[in-house]
Amino acid sequence: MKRFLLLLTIFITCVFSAQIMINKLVAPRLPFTLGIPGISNLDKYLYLDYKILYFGDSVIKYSGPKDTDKSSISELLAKSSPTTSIADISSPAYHLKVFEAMLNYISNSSHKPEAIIIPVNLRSFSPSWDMAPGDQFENEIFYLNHHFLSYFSKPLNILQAIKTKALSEETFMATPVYYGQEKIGIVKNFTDIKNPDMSEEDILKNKYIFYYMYDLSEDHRFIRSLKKIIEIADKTNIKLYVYITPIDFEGGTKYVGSDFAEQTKNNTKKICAILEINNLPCLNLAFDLDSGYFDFDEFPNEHLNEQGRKYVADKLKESIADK
Amino acid sequence: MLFNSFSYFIFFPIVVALYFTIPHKYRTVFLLLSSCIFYMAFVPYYILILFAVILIDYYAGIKIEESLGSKRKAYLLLSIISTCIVLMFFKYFNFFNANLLGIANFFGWNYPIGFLKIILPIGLSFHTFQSLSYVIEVYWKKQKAEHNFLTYSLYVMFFPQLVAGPIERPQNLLHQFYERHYFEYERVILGLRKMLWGFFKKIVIADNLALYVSRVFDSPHDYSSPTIFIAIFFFAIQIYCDFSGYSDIAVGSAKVMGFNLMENFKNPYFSLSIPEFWRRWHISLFTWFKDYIYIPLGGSRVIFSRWCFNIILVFLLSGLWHGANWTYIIWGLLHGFFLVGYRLAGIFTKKISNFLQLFPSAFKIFINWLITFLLVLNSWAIFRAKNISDAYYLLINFWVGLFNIFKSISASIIHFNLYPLKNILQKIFAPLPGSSFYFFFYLGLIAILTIVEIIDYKFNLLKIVSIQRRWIRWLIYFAAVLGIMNIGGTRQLEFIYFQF
Repeated sequence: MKRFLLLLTIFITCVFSAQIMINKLVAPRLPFTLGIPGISNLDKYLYLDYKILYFGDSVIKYSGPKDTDKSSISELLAKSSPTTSIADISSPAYHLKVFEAMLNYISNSSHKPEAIIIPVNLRSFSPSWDMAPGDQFENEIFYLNHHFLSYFSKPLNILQAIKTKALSEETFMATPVYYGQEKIGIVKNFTDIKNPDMSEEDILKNKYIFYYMYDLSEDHRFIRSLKKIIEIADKTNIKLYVYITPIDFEGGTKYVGSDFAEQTKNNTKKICAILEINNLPCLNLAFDLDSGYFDFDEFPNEHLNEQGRKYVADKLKESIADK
Repeated sequence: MLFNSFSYFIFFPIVVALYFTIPHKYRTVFLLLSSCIFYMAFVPYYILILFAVILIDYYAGIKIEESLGSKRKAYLLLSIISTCIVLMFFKYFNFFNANLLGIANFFGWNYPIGFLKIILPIGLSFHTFQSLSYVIEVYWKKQKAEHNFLTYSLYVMFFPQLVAGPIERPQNLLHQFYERHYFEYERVILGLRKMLWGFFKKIVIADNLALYVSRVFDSPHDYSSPTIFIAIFFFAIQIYCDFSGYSDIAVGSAKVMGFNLMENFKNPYFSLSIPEFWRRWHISLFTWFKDYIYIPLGGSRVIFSRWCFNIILVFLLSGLWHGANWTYIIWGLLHGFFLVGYRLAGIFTKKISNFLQLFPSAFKIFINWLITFLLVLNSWAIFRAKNISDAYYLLINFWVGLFNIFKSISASIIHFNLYPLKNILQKIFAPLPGSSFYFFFYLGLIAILTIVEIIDYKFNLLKIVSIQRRWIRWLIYFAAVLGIMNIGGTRQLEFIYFQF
């Protein structure tokens, strides 16, 4: 038995060492990912010394069915800045908490980019996104925050070794929905609309309220993440380009009324204030584009068409050039 | 507890270490407690159902042994009926109810019986069959009744084979609980080696293919016929690696502790006929049906029409055993008809073999293998389909897809033009997650499996590995472990046979 235990210990040590080596040296060179895609891509781009990393959600890559140029915002930006290497690490519903974890991961890495672009999506603060069980990315955040364990993220994930605290569907459905500071219902009322008497206009109005009419609190977990991102970037000498993503301001005003403008402007002011206190410019694109720049196939959303993506890429290029 | 879970990676070494540490007289109790923990990791209170099955058959065994004449039969029937009622209630109540409701609706009758909101206890079909095996063997006087309740409970609950077999026979397993097992280096290594290959098959091959397979089978109408053909082929590999992987882990886990469980698979996809396939696939279940249903019905020593009836009945029951769904029943029946067809073809064998003698033997073997494999693939399409209409659609497109692939390859070769091949590959790549790289990755995995299966078929894989030099053996283990850790499926997937 002693011989067996000795050999087993040697074998396990070899496997562990090889796993770390594979993830540190081999995996970033591979054309495909070995681990969890978000983390593996981050490793790859850090290893390849990209100058600018562009974090983001689905808005970065989404293209509408009528678009002739399907390029993502980061691709458009890269095309217009050929001397700068830019790569995006994005996934539908990624939010500031994930970006914070990614920056935290980068701060522990020997390879660091020169700059990071952070989009702030106004809808992400609403319960429709903030509290949605499928949009939490607990696993990714856990491994990004536990640098060493990330070498073993794939096997630990397959074996479900890390049981992160997930939000339940019940909690999500019972989350209050606000109109400014007034509680007007719970998520269930806004996601479970089956009333046949409801007009198309009322449905859209409800969606705009659900997505954008919250009063942004200084204590919102994503605001705390934004502050943390600024702090880590400052410590690690990484330039930050933070911008607020365009919303369909025109549509919101049409269906909700003048309150929509007032509330969303208040919310963006709070975000810009945090940036300005930290001597960072606030690139507020929230109200720059009219309805024609958005894709309306499913519902009023923040997804941009070809012209919209190009507009954001140009604005980002200007911002980077200014700095 | 799933074998492919972190819990099992903690549970198993602790159980093995304690098993070899504690005195022999406490080992049965210890293994029983460990098995309870293993089972209760799923749905804890379902252990009560298992306990009920154990209790019924434990007393039935003793009573059968003690009784004479018709009383013996009465106890046997009582035991079989009680055990089957448990199985029927949990597994088939809603299925039969839904069908009766359908009939009632068709005739416009009022049907008052509602549906039960119950989950099928995991592995129920496996342990009820193992329990039934015991009472039947006691009735036939091939096995003495087990008077120690704990030992009998362990026979049904032994954790490596509790939830998905192999379905053991009392003659093979019960006596092993009384034997003293020591920590023997060679045997432990043999067990771990088997477990490693099982994990590789499950996590690396089956779970990777699962992604492609589930995308196509979940919405087959969204894909073209070549894609459907490839998905059915991938499913055949997936289900084999999933189930034989589970069996290898079970047999290996038991072997580490000194127990020998029966082998469940013997390279089934190398079969040259359907009867041979059933001697190589899920052996423990099909020997169960053979020993307890087919042979008591007269086996093959009856007139042809009665034999056909026996075969069809056995395969109908085997389909039903797999699940309460018409697709499983048709899958079972189809295999029954394949066997009948094979025997009918045997009548013309002489003429066929005279004709085949014109060809080299390798060609004959290839044709036999190809026909068998295509028939098996056909049946898997039905097995995996969500419903009958999907099964029909998949079957049609299986043959159309095969024809289209063959046509494209031929066209590319004949016209020296890669366009037809490219065109069909584009269709096949459609369900892939992102890049076409994955398709070639899957083919690479299947190639590894094929090479290993050929070695196993010709020489016995474990023995071949044993005789290699230490550094080669370590390199193999090393590659397998790192493969499991890095190129396994993206998430934890249950074993397919757990649902049965």
